[in-house]
Amino acid sequence: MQNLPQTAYKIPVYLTQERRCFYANIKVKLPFTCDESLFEEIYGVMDVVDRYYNSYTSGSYIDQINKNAGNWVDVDDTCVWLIQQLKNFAELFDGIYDITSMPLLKLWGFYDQKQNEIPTSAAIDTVLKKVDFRQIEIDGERVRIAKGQEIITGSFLKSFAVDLAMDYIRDIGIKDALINAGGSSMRVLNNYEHPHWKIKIPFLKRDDKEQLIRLSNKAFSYSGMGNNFKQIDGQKYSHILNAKTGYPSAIRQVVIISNSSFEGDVLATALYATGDDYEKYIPSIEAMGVSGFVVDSRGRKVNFGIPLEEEVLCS
Amino acid sequence: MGRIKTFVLYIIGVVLLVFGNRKIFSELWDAIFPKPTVDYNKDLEDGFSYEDLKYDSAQGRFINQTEYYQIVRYGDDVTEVMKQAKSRTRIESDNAESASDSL
Repeated sequence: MQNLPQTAYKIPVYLTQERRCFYANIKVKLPFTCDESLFEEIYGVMDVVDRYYNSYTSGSYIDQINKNAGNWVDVDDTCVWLIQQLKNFAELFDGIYDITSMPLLKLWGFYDQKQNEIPTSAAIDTVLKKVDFRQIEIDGERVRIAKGQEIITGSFLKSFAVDLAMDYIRDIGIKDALINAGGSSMRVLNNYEHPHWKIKIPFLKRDDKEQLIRLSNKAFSYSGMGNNFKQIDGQKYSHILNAKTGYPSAIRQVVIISNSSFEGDVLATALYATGDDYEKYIPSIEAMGVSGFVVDSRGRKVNFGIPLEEEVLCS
Repeated sequence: MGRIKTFVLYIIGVVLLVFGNRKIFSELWDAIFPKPTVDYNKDLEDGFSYEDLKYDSAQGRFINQTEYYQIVRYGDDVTEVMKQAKSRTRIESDNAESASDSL
């Protein structure tokens, strides 16, 4: 009998846990040889991020900033770093992506889900006056937002926690692992024995083919309109809003492959929010060494960066 | 001859009963000589600095300014989010993960 290569017998086996955090199921996969107690430490890292920086967590720095709008609030250097980075991203996208867009989300009913009609343009114009990242001031380790403003951390904090948790996993010497935060943000580690992880991209139409992406030592971020939308008079409206116009984007999918989940998640959300103007921002994204694709409102797929390693599956 | 055979089989049976089930033997050993409790954190903590979170309910905020996440306290002082955790460990292969537009 012909000797098969040894890899033919090897099936990678992982310990997996899934916990609910940041309003998402966060799955961690570690090699089978790892101690189960590591999960407590990894989820513990994410829990610290949740406690200190989540705008929905009472007593967090961002919660304090929101509750004391108009006044300076003492924060830590990580909070300052996060806000500065997000201001830079907002500048890059001309304010289409803006972390102060909470009043806009509330207006559209994406916060309490009670609102079920399209807001009037007058109401949108009024709320847009409060949405402006330029009014976030940083002075050393103090932050102040304007009165009436509110920061929302939904577009970046989960992925920031994923980055910290994965850095922790790598620092303790694990070289093959995956963190999947609700399917929209994933980060993987790979070694020679397990060179890549596979990610299934949802198909947009029933007769479409499902795609697989191979990911190696990178972060994957996804924005789309599969589950999170509001249906008003039969029309679907995405929860990702253009903070400049005040209206939801109609892009179908954005996939970003980047070095960090934080960067990827912000870019996926921001590019999604640009709507039909997305092509204008692709050169800046490519310059950051990021790859991915956009499926626009007409169903046209535009790839950018290094071509992704893809394969097509049966629908 | 028949009695010797019965005796030998009886001895083999007793030996298997006592030494064949090592779990009973080790449990018995542990009951007689209980192991001292080891504090695994004791050695670990020397290499790290850590800070317990202090929450002032009157002010409604954390009052200590931690520098970074060197060590994470996890145990009795657990948040509601972590209490709801589905902490059962499963075994999986490297099956494909599905992308989704979760919040």
